[in-house]
Amino acid sequence: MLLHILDVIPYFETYLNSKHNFIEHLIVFSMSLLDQNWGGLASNDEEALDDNYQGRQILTSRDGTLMLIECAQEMFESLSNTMKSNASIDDNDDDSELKTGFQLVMRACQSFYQSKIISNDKDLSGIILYGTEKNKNTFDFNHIYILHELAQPSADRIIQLENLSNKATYKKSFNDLFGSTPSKGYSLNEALWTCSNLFANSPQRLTIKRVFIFTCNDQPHATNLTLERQAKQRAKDLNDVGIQVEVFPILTETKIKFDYKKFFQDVLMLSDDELEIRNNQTPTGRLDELLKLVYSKEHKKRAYCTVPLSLGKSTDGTPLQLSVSVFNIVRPCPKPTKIKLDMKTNMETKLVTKHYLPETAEILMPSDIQYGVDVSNRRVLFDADEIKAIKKFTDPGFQILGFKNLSCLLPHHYVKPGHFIYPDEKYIEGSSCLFNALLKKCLEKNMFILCQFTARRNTPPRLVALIPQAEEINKKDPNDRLASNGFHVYYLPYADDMRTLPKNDSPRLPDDKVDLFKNVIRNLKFKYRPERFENPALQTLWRNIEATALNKDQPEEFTDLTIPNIENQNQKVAEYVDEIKQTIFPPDYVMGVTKRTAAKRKADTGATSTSAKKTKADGDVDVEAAARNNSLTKLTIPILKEYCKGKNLKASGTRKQDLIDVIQKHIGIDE
Amino acid sequence: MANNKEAMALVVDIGAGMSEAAPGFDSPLQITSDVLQMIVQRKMFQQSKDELALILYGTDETNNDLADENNYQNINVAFSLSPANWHLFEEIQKIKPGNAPADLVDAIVVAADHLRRETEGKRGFVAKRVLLFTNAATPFNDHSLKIILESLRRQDIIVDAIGPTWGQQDDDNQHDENDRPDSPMHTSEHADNHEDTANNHPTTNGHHLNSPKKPLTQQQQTGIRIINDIVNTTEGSLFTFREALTILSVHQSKTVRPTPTKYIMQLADLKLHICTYIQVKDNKPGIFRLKKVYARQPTTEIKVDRGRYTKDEEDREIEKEELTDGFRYGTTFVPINKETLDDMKYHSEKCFSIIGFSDANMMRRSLYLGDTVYEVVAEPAYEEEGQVFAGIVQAMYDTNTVAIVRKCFSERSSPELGFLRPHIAHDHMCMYYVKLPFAEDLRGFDFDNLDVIKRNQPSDEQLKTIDKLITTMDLTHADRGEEAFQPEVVFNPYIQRMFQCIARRAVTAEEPLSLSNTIEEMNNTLIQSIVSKSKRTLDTVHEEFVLRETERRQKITTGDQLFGNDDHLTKKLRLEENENIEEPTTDSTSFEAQSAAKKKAAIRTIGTITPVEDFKTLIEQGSPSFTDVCKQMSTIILELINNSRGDALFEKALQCIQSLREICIQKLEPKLFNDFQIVIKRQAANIDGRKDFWTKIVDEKISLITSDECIESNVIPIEAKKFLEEETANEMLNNALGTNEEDGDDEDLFDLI
Repeated sequence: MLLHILDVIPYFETYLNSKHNFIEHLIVFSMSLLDQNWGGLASNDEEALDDNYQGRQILTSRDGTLMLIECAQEMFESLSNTMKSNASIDDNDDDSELKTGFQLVMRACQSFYQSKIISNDKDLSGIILYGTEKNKNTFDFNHIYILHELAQPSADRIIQLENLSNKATYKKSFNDLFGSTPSKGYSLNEALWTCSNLFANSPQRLTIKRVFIFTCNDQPHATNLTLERQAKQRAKDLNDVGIQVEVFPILTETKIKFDYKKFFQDVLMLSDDELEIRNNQTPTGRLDELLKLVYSKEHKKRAYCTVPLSLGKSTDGTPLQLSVSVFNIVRPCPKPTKIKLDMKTNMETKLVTKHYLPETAEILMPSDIQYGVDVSNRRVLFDADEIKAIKKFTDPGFQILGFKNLSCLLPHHYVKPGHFIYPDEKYIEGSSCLFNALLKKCLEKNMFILCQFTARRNTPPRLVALIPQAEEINKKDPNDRLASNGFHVYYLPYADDMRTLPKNDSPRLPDDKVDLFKNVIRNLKFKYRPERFENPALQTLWRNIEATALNKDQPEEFTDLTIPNIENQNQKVAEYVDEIKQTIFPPDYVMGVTKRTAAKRKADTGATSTSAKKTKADGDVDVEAAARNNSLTKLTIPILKEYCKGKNLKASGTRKQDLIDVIQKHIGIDE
Repeated sequence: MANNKEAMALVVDIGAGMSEAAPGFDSPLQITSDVLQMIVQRKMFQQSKDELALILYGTDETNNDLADENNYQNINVAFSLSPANWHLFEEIQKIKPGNAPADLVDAIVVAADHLRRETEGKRGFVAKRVLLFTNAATPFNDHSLKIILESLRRQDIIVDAIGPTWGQQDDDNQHDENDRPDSPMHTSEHADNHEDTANNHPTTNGHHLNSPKKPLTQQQQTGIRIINDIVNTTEGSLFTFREALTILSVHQSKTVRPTPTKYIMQLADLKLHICTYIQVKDNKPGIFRLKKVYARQPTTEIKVDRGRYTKDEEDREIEKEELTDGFRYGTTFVPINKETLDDMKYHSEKCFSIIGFSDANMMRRSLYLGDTVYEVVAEPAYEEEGQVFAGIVQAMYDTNTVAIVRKCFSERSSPELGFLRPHIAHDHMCMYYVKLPFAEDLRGFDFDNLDVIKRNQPSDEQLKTIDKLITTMDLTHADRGEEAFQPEVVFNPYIQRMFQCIARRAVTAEEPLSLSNTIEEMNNTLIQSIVSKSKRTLDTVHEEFVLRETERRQKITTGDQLFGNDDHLTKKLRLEENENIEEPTTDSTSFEAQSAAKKKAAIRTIGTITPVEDFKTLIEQGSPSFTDVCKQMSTIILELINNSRGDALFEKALQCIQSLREICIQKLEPKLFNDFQIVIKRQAANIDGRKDFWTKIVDEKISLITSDECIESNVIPIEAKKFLEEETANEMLNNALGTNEEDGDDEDLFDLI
């Protein structure tokens, strides 16, 4: 495999990473200095951590969520009518699929897990039940059962939850595992304590810690003031250590109202206003949110890098710099990566790359490797360091070259996805003010800033346009920000990137004819919104993986909005299109049909094949006929290969004769 | 694609005036040489089949097929027509000024004759071109010009000329507004308008000119007239030296042949044949993909073995047949076989369907995705469909709309979303296609309004300053009324630098890398000129805005400087070292000689193949210094230990340690070894450290060097024994570290790594 220059750096990083800890520390230290990027690290592309510029042992920030679910008898009563009608996720299912509160909560947890796997599978979640018959927790508290420790979600967990919500199986699964207690003596304090303990023992550092309480009791300790006081105190303690608590009320036949004031106002630390809002909300709103399956990746707001933006130097030599954070706000969402598993164990495998000498099979170290290129019979050699040096031009940052009118950006000036910059005060105070002034003036004067931008130390510079972006707010909803203020970083192509294409000067249509087309456009106009179209390939893959992992027959349904509804379009514009056809085409013209020789066309009129190539079946017939006539040698290798591929034939070699042999054998067998 | 190659004669005037330049400016001959090198590099690196010839006139010697005693003197065909190679490159580097009288018209005749002779009977040449570099200062004879012009035209030879100035040109020919607004292709100066000082300051193309301008001589003016004549007759182009670089774009673009991809565009019931061409795409020359070769034997390409291993203690290699594809679902691994995988994929037909139309103003540039801009045109063979296509383009253009499109390249690829923007120029009509994001691709980050914090609101005074800054630094008309830094004329300095580095390394393999390059210099010159112009406004910005570096910033910059210095020093050291290498006497251009030289050079460092031998050789050589060699050895040992799969390389590492130990005893430098051994032990204590290797050392009883073995050592045998026996526990190591630090040699050790 050839090595692209760009690959040299990652290669070295892997090498460095393979060294052991104490060495790593040293390297980490020097690396952090090496990366003059103030913030951000040279990780692959994305997710550089701004707040962790010190080293590369980055702890990816993860969220942790614990579901704390009451298992009192009421949770197994039929749901109240409001709850039923709102929790309408299973329209197609049997009406009575989710009859009880417990089932509903289990389903919500299941959806939460499923959504997490797509959105952020590094996040941790867990489930704790209270009011159970059996115990399972480190403190031997009664009636508290840890169903799932804090961990990343897995297929097993989801399948288990499915059993716990399924009408046919939930009772048995539930009773086998933990059962419900008729006793009212269980303590919410102990349950919360268990939660906080799970968080404390989490092997991963968690940036957000949440406890979701699912309960039908708005006053769990109505009869025991001590327990109530303890629970409230515990909730406060949790809040103090940064654990957020949230309540999801479950209403049943007997528990038809949930009054936050009775108890949970203090647990959630709600102000009176907030309490008012809460009590007037339909209790199912937020639960419905949990129940919804969301197939969408979540992105944490992190800077790609934080670099200086330099205006130049003043007369006394002081550099005029402000500091900006660079964000990627639009990037292709990666497809789930295929991994290689050990067939025997279905466990993950790792790839080990070794460089060796072909003759002696001696394993080589990076210091034994040079990089070479052959030009006109000369092999030209470089060290890895030299290649780095060739790529290094300036230190990372933006260097302002000047300002230009926005009209200087031509339609085809584009080369790769850009960034967004926003001022940063952590490195240079006062950045925001200068940034803001530049933004305001560029907007007012319709200008963009032309810069030379070096993203990383060993990245060659590129020309970028900083296009001003004003804040845009949805007029209907003042909380909906359509665009944030800042500059878009827009990469401009170099002369090297632009190609000269053949001229294409087709005759223009007269205005009256153009008007026909305007009618078509007018009737097919819609307001493009980028969030409107989901990626069909990605969604399909996600759903299929999920279905396979959870042993489902059918993946979740997906509607592909990118396929235009031709019928619909026709309805709207048929009259204009017909008119266009009549004015431009000869009477029996068939559009979109690839021209062929007259004889051919006669043979298959009406075919709408887009390619002039013979269809596969044709080719197969040809090959087989040739084989019978012993004239296979006259066919080209690609045709023979194609045939072999179609018939799944494996030739013993790549020579033509090998292909012919295998085809003859194949046809011989057929006969 | 040998059927569209070009034959090109590079004709260079090396006579009087070509090497004259005002101090600080490049001479025309220098610029010529630079440009020619770039052309040849690009031709070579892109493995172009185009053939080039180099013809110099004004040389002392005469070497051409037409020459006889009186005619065609002092014209030297330095390189006969053939594909570009290193020989040609070296010939260009060798160009020296001459002052023998030679005739410009003669030179063109020789070039045309050469092209004719060399291409006659050969197939595949579609164009013949003469590229003439001259300042038209030498006298010539033009009495047969008519016949010559006629003959050039008959042979379809195009003559391009690069000279000091060309007077006012009818710049319509070859000039194409839509595609490549190569603005500098025409100049507005009159030949006699010498006062024009615009030439003096560098501009977009930024070349230092042969200015301050001297008035053109009578001879030059005549010459220029004649050249104009020739170029116009042959439909060539004229460039000034200042614009010479744009030639690159002209020649470079030829290297990528536009290939159409065909689609059927569907809109309601309309189905149209269209083709797409790549219009803009990041140019990554294939040559930048480098091979890994063995440093000691550069002819040997290194093979790579990628093995799959179990991710557990066992670390067992798994055969290909025992692997299956799969995905991660949370922490669950989901195995999926090939057939299922194909079923699972989304299936789409090849398509190019318009979903609908949208207001063009809604298409924010920040949404653009992908790495390519395509030009979309109607397929020429379908005339009526072409009319419909034109109708759509015109209607979209008039209504300022774009079309949202679902595009799928083939059945095997995933569909993408994109949009079409109509483009109409006086002689060109097309649409541009750019990819758009799907909902999943939007990150949805939200940023606060800057005005919310009072401190961030600029005052009126501050705004006024910025307003002024924008005015002084406005580039829209900064290049003599034209837009400065147009993407169409700014070249990628990295590509050029890489090309130059490869070329220099190929010609002079032993010289250290020199990173200067023309394009970068030119870009920098332009930046400098802009910066100097805006100095005063920048001062006001400096006064008006308070910018304060925080401690965090300061910490980083000083740290970086420290490190940067260091980096610099070591590099310098290395370069100096390189200079010390005895010059190989053999012809440096031959491949064998090169590798031999490399090999010799390489024995200044220890490799991992025969480290013990290398080590001993270096110690015998006595240079680099003993300490340096020991450091190298230590690094190699650590490398061996750390890269060892299982204990595969331990034996070698042990040998190295033994060898290092012996030498250190011999040379009375026990401390070097002892310190190193502490490092190894310390490493062993780390999680994932190579404790297994330390066990080997203990087994082999390779102790610290004791005072018994070497008088310089202050380790008594009992300590050495203890050192081996003691657990590699952390406390103990910390102690070791402590003592080590007291010795103040810790730094050295770190330097090892």
